[in-house]
Amino acid sequence: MSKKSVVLFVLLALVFVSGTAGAEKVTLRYMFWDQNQQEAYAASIDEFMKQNPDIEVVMELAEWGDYWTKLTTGMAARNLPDVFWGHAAYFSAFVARGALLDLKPLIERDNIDTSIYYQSLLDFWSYEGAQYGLAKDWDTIAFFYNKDLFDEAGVPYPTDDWSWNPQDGGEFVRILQQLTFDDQGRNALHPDFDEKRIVQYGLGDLAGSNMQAGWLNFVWMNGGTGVLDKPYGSKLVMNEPECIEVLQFWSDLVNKYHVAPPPEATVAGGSPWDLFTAEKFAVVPQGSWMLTAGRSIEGFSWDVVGMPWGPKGRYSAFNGLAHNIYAHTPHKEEAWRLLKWLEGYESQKIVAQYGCVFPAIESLVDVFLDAYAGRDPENVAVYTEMAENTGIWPMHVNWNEIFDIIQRELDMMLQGFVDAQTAVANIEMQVSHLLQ
Amino acid sequence: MARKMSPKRKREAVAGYLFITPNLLGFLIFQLVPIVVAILLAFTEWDLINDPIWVGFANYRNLLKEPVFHLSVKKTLYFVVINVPVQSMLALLIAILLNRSIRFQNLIRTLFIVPWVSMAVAVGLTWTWIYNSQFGLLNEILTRVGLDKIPWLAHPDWALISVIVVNIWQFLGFHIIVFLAGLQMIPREVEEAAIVDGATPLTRFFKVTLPLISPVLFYDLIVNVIGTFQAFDLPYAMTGGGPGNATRVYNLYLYQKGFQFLRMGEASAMAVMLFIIIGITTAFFFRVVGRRVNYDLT
Repeated sequence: MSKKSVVLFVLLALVFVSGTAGAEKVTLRYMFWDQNQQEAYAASIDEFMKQNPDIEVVMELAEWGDYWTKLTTGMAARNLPDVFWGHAAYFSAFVARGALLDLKPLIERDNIDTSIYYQSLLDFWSYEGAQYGLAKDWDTIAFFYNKDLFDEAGVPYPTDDWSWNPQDGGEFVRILQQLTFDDQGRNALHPDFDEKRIVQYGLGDLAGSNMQAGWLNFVWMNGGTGVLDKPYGSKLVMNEPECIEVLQFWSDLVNKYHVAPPPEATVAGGSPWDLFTAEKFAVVPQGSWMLTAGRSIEGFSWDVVGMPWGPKGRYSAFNGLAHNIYAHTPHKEEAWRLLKWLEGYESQKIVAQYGCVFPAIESLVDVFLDAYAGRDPENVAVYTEMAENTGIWPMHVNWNEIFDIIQRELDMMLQGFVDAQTAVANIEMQVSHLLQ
Repeated sequence: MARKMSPKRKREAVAGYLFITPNLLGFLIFQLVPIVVAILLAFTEWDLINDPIWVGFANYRNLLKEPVFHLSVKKTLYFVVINVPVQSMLALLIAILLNRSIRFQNLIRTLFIVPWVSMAVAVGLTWTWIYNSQFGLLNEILTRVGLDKIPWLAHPDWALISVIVVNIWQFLGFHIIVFLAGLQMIPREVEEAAIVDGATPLTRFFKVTLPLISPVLFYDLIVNVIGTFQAFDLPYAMTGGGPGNATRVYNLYLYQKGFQFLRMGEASAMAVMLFIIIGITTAFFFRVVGRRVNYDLT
């Protein structure tokens, strides 16, 4: 390089450096997985950027299927979004490995009033005395049902007091049997019903992987503890008789009553949601987060009904998401400002107006329900009733691995290859070394 | 001391190195460095989040004790043993047919190539729809003609073979191209001489065609074995390894270990072991089959 060009280069470099230093804008990366919530959060973040001109937030959508892989590889590469959505099922693995920022000192410093949130939601994000999130939203489980299929079958719509039991299935199974048809139009109660030629099922989505919206709720409703004795517990409690009974009932729905397809039919090719919207299922358990997706249903009318009452009452998973901050972010303060905004009253109000997820702040639930005035589903408020009873949600530092085993063995049971007793014994055998 | 090169030769040498530089850099950065890193990581416990901890051979010891690991090895061997011969023989047969001038030759060739150039995940998902035991196309046809439904991907006894069938179909086009290239290298005179000598088509195939394309056959065999050992996309997209562990092939389990269970050290150890398994298998083929290969084309 000639002397002249060196001087020129240095000058240019100086201009460049001072130029960027003048703006001093911090860019935060924000990662989330649900496209249904994109519009609502974009609106909230726009408002945040207006109030915080020194921060630029880049939203990155990663579909649920890739989301956790992207986060973990991002951690390995020390290249992670600063703020991202957390889920109770994956939180334990991350927090135990020191990937998340403890918010407790910041909450105390800024005097954040945490009493506006549901306490059980806050509890999800505490671990060994630290607090890793506030609360973004909550969700419960209820059943979506296709009104047209009920009408065609001449079955009255399910009422909020419908019930089930593990012995003969009760009213729940009777209703589903009348909604399951073979290719000759005979329902599952017909003496000549051919279970090998079913074209429409009463119930969908019984896969072993569907713990949150599926079998775990029924275990609780039968008086079972759940999967682990307590959050971060080291004892598997699926061998309780109440649990095995329910798992067998769950298998009976497929293999004895033939009112639901085996998991393979809804995992391999076509999600339960696709099959519900294609009118192959009359009823599917769905989390309240699916309400937004339900808006795009065309061609039939639908509604929601609470889960049927079990022998020990009615229980639902009560989960929620929160925003987490990456422990090694270079922009801790800015990330905390964003998190504070997102979990705060103003932002949750903006998001609630879009009606995609129930706000974690109790006083805003009505804003969310107003978003559904005059449109399907009529009975949307049932999701708030489902929040009344919940059981112990399993959390464990090796949860990903434990759950992989549980879902595989339960699928084998639901496919009819083993009974519930054997499935649970197989699970126990394989998870024991992971629980210590 | 090395011999001095003339300026012209030197320039040529520099040009030559420049030509291979992009490829060499790519190999160093994207292959060699990760390989070395993986070999080292195999001796560590690494959860992707914290720094790796040196554990010596513990990962290897743990894996060898693990039933699911042994199962994944078995599933993979089964995959290789079924896939490789069926796929290669089918491809050879089709290549021979396509080597003659037949009607719609180009259309037929294209039809065999399309699945190979399609994305494996898209292919896999499409086939899960076709295979779906309750609502799938195949079972729909079976019931229409009065047969019972088959649990293609639903039954542990069926699932792996169902996946293998898709794998055979998907990569058939690649092997057909390899064989077509080989067939077209055979000098016409040799074939004609055989015809003049009165050799039957069958004799011509075994005595002329087969020996003359044996280098291509050998190449295809090696490539197929190596590729099949690394099968991942289709089982991942079609079954996720299920039902139970029925289709959890080696590379799928490796992926799960590393990215799902955050045990990157064990995943690296698995990669190293797969490298050794493939190395031994390839060496075996070179010793046993490689000698019979005829490289003399005239």
